[in-house]
Amino acid sequence: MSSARSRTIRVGALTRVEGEGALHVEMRDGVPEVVELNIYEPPRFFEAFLRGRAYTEPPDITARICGICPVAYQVSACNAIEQACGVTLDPELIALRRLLYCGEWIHSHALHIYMLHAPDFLGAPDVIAVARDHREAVERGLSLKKAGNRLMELIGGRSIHPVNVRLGGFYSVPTRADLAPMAEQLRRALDDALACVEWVAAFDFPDLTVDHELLALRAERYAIEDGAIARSDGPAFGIAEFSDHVRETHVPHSTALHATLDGRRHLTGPLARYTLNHDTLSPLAREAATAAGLGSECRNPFRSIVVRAVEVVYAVQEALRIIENYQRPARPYVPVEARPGIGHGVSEAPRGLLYHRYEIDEAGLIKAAVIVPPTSQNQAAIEDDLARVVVADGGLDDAALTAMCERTIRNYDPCISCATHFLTLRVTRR
Amino acid sequence: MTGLVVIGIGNSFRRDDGVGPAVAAELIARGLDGVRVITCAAETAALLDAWDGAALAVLVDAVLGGEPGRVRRCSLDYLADAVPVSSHDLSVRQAYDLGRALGRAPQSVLVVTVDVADTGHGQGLSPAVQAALPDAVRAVLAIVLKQADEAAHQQS
Repeated sequence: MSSARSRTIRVGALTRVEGEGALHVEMRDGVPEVVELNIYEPPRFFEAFLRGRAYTEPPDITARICGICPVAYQVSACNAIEQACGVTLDPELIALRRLLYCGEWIHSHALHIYMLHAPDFLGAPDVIAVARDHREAVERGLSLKKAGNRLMELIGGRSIHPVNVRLGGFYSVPTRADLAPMAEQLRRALDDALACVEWVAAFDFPDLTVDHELLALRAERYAIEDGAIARSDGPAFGIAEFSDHVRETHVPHSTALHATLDGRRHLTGPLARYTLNHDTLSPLAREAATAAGLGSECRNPFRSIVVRAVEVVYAVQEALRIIENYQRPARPYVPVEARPGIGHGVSEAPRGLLYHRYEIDEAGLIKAAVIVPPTSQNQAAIEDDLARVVVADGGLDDAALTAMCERTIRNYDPCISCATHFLTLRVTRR
Repeated sequence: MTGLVVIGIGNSFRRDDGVGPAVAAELIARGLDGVRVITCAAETAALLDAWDGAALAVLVDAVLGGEPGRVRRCSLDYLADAVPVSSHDLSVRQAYDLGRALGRAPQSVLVVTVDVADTGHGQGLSPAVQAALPDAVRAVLAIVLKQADEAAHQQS
């Protein structure tokens, strides 16, 4: 519904995002008065039902939060509990954990780039329509995704909800010979990944520069399986202080908690990770980024597809590096004995920083659990982007503006299921 | 394009959703000449690989909301409105459309469905679906035999 002063746009269900949610925008004289991401997927109560479970269980239980990024949940959970129990992994086991995580990045990013996000840039409703005109590209995407899935199967036991991860490491570890065929597939995947960056770099990107504070992990190598907290505007803080700075609040319009960083909206995920860690990318990934028109930072969410493609190059190359240097760990896992206390764990899920905190009691049971997924951290930033887009593109007709809002949301590859712990779009203009 | 592939679709860890893989297991145990029998969780890339190059793909899948244990044979169009289990993947019908766009779809597809009762967590089929397993296997075998007859007829 539209009039000179007010317009209403409603979309029944937002597609090509994971989970269920809606968007509600109210505008008067072209000014957005209400921009709400309504996450109505039921809350899932993971933090509540982890209480009373054995300290060994969170990696497998929390992996079930997401079918796309289970490794992120497993790794953040392991990191937290291992820290609580005072255990440090052998370097070979950390490398294997990173290798598994590379598989998840490759598969998750390839899925989002080719099947969910690229249609937005090609004026297509879905990947099927993209495939009719860009057959070679879609085949490449499927091939990349398969390489990621296979890596997860090889190290994790299966590609969805891997079963081979345990506290302290793995139930079993591969031999060098087991990894050799994977290296062959990854070498082909590296060519595909580089071609992917070229392909997405040629898309047209709407202008949008965001000023959200950026939050990501930082490590000697491009942060994936662990790291120290880094931010763009304020002083860094230790992982144990995460909850002091990143606070979750309940908002009436969403079953997902909204998080802020020191009271302000912030952004985690590919743009934050890239901007805070550009210098730690491999030379090849940096070259690909430069050739794709990215500088040392990227603050246009529409270009997140390029950043994801660069991260795929990095992840494939990193997987190859780990396999090349692989020495079968002397033991598949480091024993982790329960110890009462509190542990904090972080890792870089494909969609951004994933924080876990566990309190373990004298009996080795979980007394309290806190999980802060990337999508709930990004909700305020997504709403801010939407407010900017509806103002900048207010001249568009209702259908075009709605499509633009949906694109704005998909820039973030939001995982609503993870966050409900989230889309139908409704815009009202008065 | 030659060959026949039977694809048992489903997740054996979600009770009756495992009926497709259970039918595939029965067919593998029988050892059918010239027929590829595959189990698949309906993941798009895996489906495209599974039926790549086949003249006929027979999909065996669970269907919710009917009479538990009822076995039916239908065309893929019957699944036209099916929604994907995950919003991060395609439905079987969409995977077929993607396969066609990529030139990687079988010449024809037939679907054998079994109405199911319980798709909760855990292994094992509910009694009604377990009891329907022989019927489902026979429905697939009938398609396989008919295809073999037609192929023999074309050669003679």
